[in-house]
Amino acid sequence: MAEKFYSERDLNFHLYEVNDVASLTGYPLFADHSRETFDMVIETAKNIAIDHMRPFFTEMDRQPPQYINGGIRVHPSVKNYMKICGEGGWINAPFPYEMGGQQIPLSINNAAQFIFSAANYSLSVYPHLTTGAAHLIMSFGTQELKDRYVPKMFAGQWQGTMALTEPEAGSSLSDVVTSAEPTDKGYYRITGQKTFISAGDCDSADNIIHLMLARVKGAPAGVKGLSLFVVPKFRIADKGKLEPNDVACAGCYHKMGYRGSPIAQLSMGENGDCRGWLLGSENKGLTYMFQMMNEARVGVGIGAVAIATAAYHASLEYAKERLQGRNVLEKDPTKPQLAIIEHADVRRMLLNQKVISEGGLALAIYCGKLVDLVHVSSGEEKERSELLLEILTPVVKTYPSEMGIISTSLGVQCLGGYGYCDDFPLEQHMRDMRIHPIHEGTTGIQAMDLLGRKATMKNGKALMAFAAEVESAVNRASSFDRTKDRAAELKESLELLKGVSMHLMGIAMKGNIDRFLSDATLYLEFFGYVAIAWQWLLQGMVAAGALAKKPAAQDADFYEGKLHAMDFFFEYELPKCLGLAKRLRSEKTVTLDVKREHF
Amino acid sequence: MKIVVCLKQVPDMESNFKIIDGKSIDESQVAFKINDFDNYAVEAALQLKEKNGGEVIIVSAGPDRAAKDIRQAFAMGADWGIQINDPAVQAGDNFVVAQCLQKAIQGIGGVDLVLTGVQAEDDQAAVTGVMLAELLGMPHCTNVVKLDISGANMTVNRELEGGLNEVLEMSAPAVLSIQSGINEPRYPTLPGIMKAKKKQLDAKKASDLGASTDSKTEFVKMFFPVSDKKAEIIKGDPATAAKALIDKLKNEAKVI
Ligand SMILES: Cc1cc2nc3c(=O)[nH]c(=O)nc-3n(C[C@H](O)[C@H](O)[C@H](O)COP(=O)(O)OP(=O)(O)OC[C@H]3O[C@@H](n4cnc5c(N)ncnc54)[C@H](O)[C@@H]3O)c2cc1C
Repeated sequence: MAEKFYSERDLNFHLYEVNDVASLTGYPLFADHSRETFDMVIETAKNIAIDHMRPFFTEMDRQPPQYINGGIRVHPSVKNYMKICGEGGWINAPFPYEMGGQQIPLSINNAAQFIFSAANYSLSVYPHLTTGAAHLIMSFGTQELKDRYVPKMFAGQWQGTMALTEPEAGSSLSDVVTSAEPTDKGYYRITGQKTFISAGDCDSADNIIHLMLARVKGAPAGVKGLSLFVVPKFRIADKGKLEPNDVACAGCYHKMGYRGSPIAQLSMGENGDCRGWLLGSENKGLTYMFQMMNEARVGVGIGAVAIATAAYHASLEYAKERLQGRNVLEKDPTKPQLAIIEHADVRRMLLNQKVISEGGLALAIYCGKLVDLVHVSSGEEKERSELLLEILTPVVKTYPSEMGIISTSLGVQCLGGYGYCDDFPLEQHMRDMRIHPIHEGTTGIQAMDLLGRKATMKNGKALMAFAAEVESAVNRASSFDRTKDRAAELKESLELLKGVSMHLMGIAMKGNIDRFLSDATLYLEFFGYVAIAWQWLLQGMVAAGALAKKPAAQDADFYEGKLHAMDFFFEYELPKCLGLAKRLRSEKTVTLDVKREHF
Repeated sequence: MKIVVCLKQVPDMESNFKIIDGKSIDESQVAFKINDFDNYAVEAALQLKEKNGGEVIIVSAGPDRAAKDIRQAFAMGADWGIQINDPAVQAGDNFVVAQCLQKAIQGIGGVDLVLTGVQAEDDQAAVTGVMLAELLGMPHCTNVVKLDISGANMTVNRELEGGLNEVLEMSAPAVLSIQSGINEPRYPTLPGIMKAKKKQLDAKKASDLGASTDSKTEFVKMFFPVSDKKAEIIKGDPATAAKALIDKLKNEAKVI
């Protein structure tokens, strides 16, 4: 199997050379940290990934979870990995000291998550889900709920989940029907079905703690009537004894990829005895969930970028070794064959993967830092960070997810027929990647979020904050010989995006909301190209600056590589905006005009 | 128990090495890490501390960059350390280092056990532990693969060739060189990493310790081994190639 699944050099470049994450230690919340502690955290993540995650990457795919006797059996490495994460303090790493955490900045936590996900995405989600569930309890639960559930979750002994989706309520959470009936005993009686719940049942944990959306009897229809409950698989009875809580696991789906982690079908209250404990107030469930949404969606972007990165390195390694064909100018068939990396078309495929994975990582690290800045900064800086995070969240979730499919497919293509076979990891990376445009809100839902809410929020203030950031980068890049033309091109694309945005908002103002949103996904794609071009310009500037200082040969190659990749993005990817802009401005409403009978 | 672990920072052997003027390696493109063998020694010490109480002290001779790996051992659970950070020691040989370690350990006082790795990954000399024992006047065992301690009495398994062990009885204080595989070194925990920053790390020069920096050996030069032997690929169909090979073995190599 391919050995290298990410580049330490590149990760450090994003963290320290482009985003100056070390500057976070200047804020009181992170004052105990230093570059040295960050390095140690990331180094430890690397060692855990190499020793305990990567070795099971293939095996967990070939031996997926099994539904046996009403429960789901998962790969034995899950339990071991959860133990390591629990004992090492990884599950509660980002929490404040008072909550037993280490106040690790999300930027660094994301970097670790990137390494874990690149090594073995399926395995990486178990503790990650537990962190998310515990975070909700810590933020909105009573002290009693915190004391009961969180320590075992932090220790990696109990698994956390997010249980939102139902058979009739996927994208449309307003249709959740799982019900909660208040009792006078401090808990609610839960009845209903949940589906596709990641780690919704697994024998790696002694208990499963579901953070579940349900509707209290008599609550308003729609999302305003949803409440959030803690629903354990086993509830804690007298003297801490665990007793079944009437949560039945009705099955486990067979998935295309990401097969090391199960998605369960759950049935609550078949015997009328499933108890749930309310978090916070009734009818605020979705509001609470949304407070975690930005972080969760940046997390999906990290997961997608990680898989794309692992696929890129595997195909790069192969392309350097596989001998096939000769230079087009070579007429002598007895001359030795060339490594395929010498062919321009193979280099195109490698560069395309490089710009997607490293460009996506750049945006994901940038957005992680925004989450940190929202927490620690104040005044104007906080407002700016919030606006940028709002508008970039659907982009950082979607660009790596959608383009990651193309990127991993190019990885397969670099290996030709071998890429299509399971002797190499590429086909698995491609299958694993496919989940990302679906979970945590599909691409269609992200697109409506971007155009329908984020681009228009506060009279377009978030969009303007983004434009200002891009323009500031354009101005700085204009003073470097190596980036000034690219700066001008980015400026042009930004103006095009602004123009298209105004055009679409004009349609919305006229009340044509269906038309306004009908091509939201294309708008999101367009936005993605501009945002990633901006991230490549930022990287290009750092590289140009570093090269001016005449670094050692290995570093010089790294920075030259960055500049070539920037050029590739501006030459091959950014021009796609022109086609998208043309369609987005067109008067033709093809998808609205066609009727179901026409298919 | 007061346990000292001697830890060396070494280059990551997967780095791209470039030699400057036959004298030193270009460090700008090299990543550094804890000598793998020493990692096992740290783990062994931590396990002894967990069982018997006491403290684990890291002693390391190395320049500024070595501090990060001493702190790595702190993050695993070691309590404090001494860094012998002195260009003259850096320039010296294993004997100079062993002598500095000796003086530092004597300076700590009351040390029950000194653990080292079997060898360093970079120079592979495997002499520092042995010299140190001699200088400290303590009994020593190399290649330790198992270790049981009760009070001052130790039962030590020493790895021999062919998968054999010899079992020795020793008494503390002693110096043991720990073989890899004796345990599974732990990862630093995140709380451990946060605490590591605040742990005491004393910087010393050879003169502070009263150690000499005169080497016993003379460094001549370093170079990549060059092979002037070239493999030859014999071409042609199997019958012709086999004939050519026999001819070469008979007449050129003169082995048949
Ligand atoms: C591997 C995996 C893990 C998952 N983990 C979890 C989990 O842990 N917890 C959890 O609660 N859920 C989980 N899910 C569920 C996931 O979040 C949903 O599958 C997702 O939200 C989509 O819902 P759906 O499958 O019902 O598809 P649908 O909502 O039926 O969507 C089908 C298609 O229609 C489009 N569409 C739907 N509504 C609209 C609209 N209004 N406008 C335009 N287009 C629309 C969608 O974009 C999509 O392309 C998981 C799913 C998978 C596959």
